Amino acid sequence: VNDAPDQTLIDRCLAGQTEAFGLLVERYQHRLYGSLVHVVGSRDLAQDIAQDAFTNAFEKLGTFRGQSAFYSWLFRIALNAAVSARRKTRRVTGSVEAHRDATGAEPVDMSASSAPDHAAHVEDRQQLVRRALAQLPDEYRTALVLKEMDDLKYEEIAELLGVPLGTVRSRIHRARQELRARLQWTMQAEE
Amino acid sequence: MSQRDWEELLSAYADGEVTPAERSAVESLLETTPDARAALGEIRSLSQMLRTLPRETAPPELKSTVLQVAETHKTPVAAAATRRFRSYRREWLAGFSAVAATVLMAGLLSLQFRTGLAPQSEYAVWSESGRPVIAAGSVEVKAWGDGEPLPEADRLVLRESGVPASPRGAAMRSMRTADGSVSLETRSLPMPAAAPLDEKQSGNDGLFGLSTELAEVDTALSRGSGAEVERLREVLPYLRLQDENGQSIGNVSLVVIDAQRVANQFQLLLMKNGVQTVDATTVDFDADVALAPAAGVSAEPQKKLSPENGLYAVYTEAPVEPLSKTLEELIQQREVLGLRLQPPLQVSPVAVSRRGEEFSRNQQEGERKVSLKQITDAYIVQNSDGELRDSDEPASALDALALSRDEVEGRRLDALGMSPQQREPSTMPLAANAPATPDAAAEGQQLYFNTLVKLPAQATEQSQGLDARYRSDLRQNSRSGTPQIPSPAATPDDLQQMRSRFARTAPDTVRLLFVFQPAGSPSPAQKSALPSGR
Repeated sequence: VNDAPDQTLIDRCLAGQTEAFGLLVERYQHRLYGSLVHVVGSRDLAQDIAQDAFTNAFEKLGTFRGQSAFYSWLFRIALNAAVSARRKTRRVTGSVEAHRDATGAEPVDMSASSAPDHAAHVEDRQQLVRRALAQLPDEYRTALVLKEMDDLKYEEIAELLGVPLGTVRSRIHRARQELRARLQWTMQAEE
Repeated sequence: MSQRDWEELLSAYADGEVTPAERSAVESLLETTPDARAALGEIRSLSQMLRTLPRETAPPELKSTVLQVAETHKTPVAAAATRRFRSYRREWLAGFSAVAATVLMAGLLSLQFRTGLAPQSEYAVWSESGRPVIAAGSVEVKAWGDGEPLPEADRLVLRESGVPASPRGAAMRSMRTADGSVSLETRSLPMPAAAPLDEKQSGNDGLFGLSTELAEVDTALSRGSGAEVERLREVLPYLRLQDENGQSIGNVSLVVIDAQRVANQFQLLLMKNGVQTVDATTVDFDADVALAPAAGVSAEPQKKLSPENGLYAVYTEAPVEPLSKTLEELIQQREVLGLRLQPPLQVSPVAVSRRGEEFSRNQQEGERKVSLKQITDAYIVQNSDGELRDSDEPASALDALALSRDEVEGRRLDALGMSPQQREPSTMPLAANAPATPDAAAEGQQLYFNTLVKLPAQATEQSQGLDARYRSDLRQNSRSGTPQIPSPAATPDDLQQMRSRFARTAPDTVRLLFVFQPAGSPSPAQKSALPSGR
């Protein structure tokens, strides 16, 4: 049962076997959450969004046509939830405290000025990359995360984001350019 | 090419997302330009950094929280269907004892298969005596119940309701041959354009082949649903009957609780069984597909479609086997989906008409027709001169599909050395999983597909009286054997297009339009017969 194709689990779920959805959650929760952490820049927020995405997916399962992979469909739902969450968050954003009060989330520090002092260490270096990634415009970051973290093809990303293939190619390229520039700038600032 | 374009190309190259031509260009550049090699190295290094970032794992409470929420929020399908089926079940149970006609109709299958253009027909009618007889212009196979004798009370109701008692079991028994298999007497009428049907094309082999499988299905399924599977499956072989256009297109009507849900699920099951779903939402079905106004009623402007007021239908082009399997699976989920056969499954041809042309007034009053020409026409991309009909908008669902995959598909076509004008959607394997190789294309693989069609609300209103009209038609047709009035004749252009269209499809492909009719509200009498509580 655990190896059953997604579609089989979806069919079972639609036939009333709710436990089949549990297998889908088990199958994709880490992948979705892991990517969302990078997309939204907060573990707590990523958890909330992943939870909302799974719940919405469950409720909308009957509308899933199977034209795309289940994960792509799920991620698109998550992105919608992320946009809604970001909209809410922005209204109260202004301070770390306000953000925490509003969402209960611990925001990832996105400011270059608070970068650690010693970036040579691997962990610090990873932290730098995370921060630079978090500073990218949303649309660039999302495309790059889907490519690099989720290893999706351009075509899948285009379908998931609802944009032309050329746009995906362009966004990923620009994301890389900006990321590289920010990393260089941060490292130079460190030195 | 500008510097920026080159950089973007390098980025795509690093991801393995370039065309063969682009790959050659990039590799030439890399050979001659150190800066390009350095840029590619940076891209790969950055990619490596991102990929080696630790992946966060979901907290353990995520799954439990989701499932907890899911438990309290049933899916719309399950929730709605359960709620409605509960009501349906009450109706069903109450009807069994108090409204016998309701039960009888639920157990009745009638296949009305009328020739759309009526130039030639192969048909048989289950007569009141249980023997198949030939009736000009129509095929009507009625299957009653699951073969069990009808209770006396039900027979009384039948007589009162005017529905002819023709138990399918008796009829089928009378048709059994010495070896126990089922045969159906069929003859070709001496019509001008009649092409003799061979065994494979006729319903015979379908029924012969069906008997063993159906026995298994009946064993596997509960008694009631097994019989319905049999009835549904019996439909399909008849739809292989060919008319002068190459093949008939059937209109299968199923009355369901929630048309949208069942249509969606039906598509899902079709896809699972290998019949690709084509998203036809870009096709203006609002204008292209419309139910014709009833005879004597002037054509009214079609209402704008919306999820609330539209009927749902699924047009399929696929072999019998996956369709049959899909129907079986649909029936197995009937309780969840709120599917019911009341009035029974109806199969009839889809009428052919010119766009915007009023249907013939010779049609029987209230008869529903869907403009098939427009549906099939939507898939004919090319005119005879080989030009696309409309260069600005997708001419068909398949075009839309192709456009959505323009780059990938274009590259594939390039690889095949084909121009867009050479594409023939009905023969090109556009399915996502189709092998994208010249050899595969050369084999002329058939594209089996289904597409959701939304029909206007007018049909919904008309369908409210379907039950009554159905009974009326049934009574009239079965008793008198009156020839069905042929559908309006198609123009030579229509026929040419359809002939061309069908000539490109595999002979075992059946074309069906499954129309999911939302069940009307129970009549006051039925309501009053319901038990007060669950």
